[in-house]
Amino acid sequence: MDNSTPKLTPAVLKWLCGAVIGVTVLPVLAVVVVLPFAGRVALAFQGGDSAVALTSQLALNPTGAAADALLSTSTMTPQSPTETAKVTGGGTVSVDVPRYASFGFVAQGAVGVPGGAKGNLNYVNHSTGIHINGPVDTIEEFTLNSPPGGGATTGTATFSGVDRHNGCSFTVKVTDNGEPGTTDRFGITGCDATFSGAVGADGEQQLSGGNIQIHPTQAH
Amino acid sequence: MKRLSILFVVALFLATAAASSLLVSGAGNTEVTGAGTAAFPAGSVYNGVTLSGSQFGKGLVIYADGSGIGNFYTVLDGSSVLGPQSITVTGVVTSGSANADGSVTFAGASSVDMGDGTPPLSVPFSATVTSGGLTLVLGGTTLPTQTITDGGIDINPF
Repeated sequence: MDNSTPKLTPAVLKWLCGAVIGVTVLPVLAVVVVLPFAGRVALAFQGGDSAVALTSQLALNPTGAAADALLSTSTMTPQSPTETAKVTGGGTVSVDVPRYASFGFVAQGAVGVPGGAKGNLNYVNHSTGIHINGPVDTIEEFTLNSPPGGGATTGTATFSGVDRHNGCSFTVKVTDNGEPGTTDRFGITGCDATFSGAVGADGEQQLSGGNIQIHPTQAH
Repeated sequence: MKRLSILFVVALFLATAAASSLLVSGAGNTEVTGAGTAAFPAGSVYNGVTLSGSQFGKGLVIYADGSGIGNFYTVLDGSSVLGPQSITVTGVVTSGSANADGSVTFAGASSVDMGDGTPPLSVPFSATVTSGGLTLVLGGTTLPTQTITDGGIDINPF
């Protein structure tokens, strides 16, 4: 055997596998590296949603045959659950006038399925100092009204999640009354978010600024 | 010689893996949510208004294909020769990208109300955000980077 050819011992392979898995994060990717000594390294990563477990594979040999086989047989299918609701928003509501609360959120997922949603909420009450920040896990209610012939969609959504710092549960109700958002509504309960603003019987109040949008989900 | 060769292979392997990681970070969907306040550095001016700070709320998703959805809202607080003045920017996000350094850039159309009694203007906007601050571009004007003073911005895979 040629002494100049590098040996890839089991210990080296194990170390390489650990390094690769440690620095790899997410979706579909395949990389082939042709090494100077004519060997090949093939990496195949399959992922999708952040909640989906990442799988990784490694093949390495002097001829590249196994690497080619691995690439030709890997299944690179994006994984996305059926999603039926999507809503985004950013803005402010008045609390303890003239003070205000800021919010920003994304919520998407199946309606009425506990744990079936994804997204995040950031809410800061600048009067009380309360900051709620946590992932959305459930969309409890959702309506979407698409006017015939086009035009802005409207609708309502209620979603919930858990603050990542305090572990308390929050529930957000929003109403999209069309563009530009001046009559949209936002309400929040839980995590001591209650405030003395002009909250209506629906638990929401009109935005003092910003926009809330209910989105069709076909695009993504 | 053998040891050098193995080291070379290992270095190449790690470099490839790191590059792959960067590619992947830009390849998936990314969500940005934020709420809070931020401060401008001294000397920040926009259209004759000396800016001191801002309040903001945003919720958006940037997809792997470069498209985006969501909402960006900020009020830029400052003063002019007329006295205190607040500029309101209400934007709809339509595109963006997750950057290799961990920041996210998003863009779209916005309504800019100068707060001086003139009608709001339609202005293209973009913003680059990190967990610690944001840089806003209104039309052709890049405002100085703001530093978050209350609340925060979260950037997560979506």
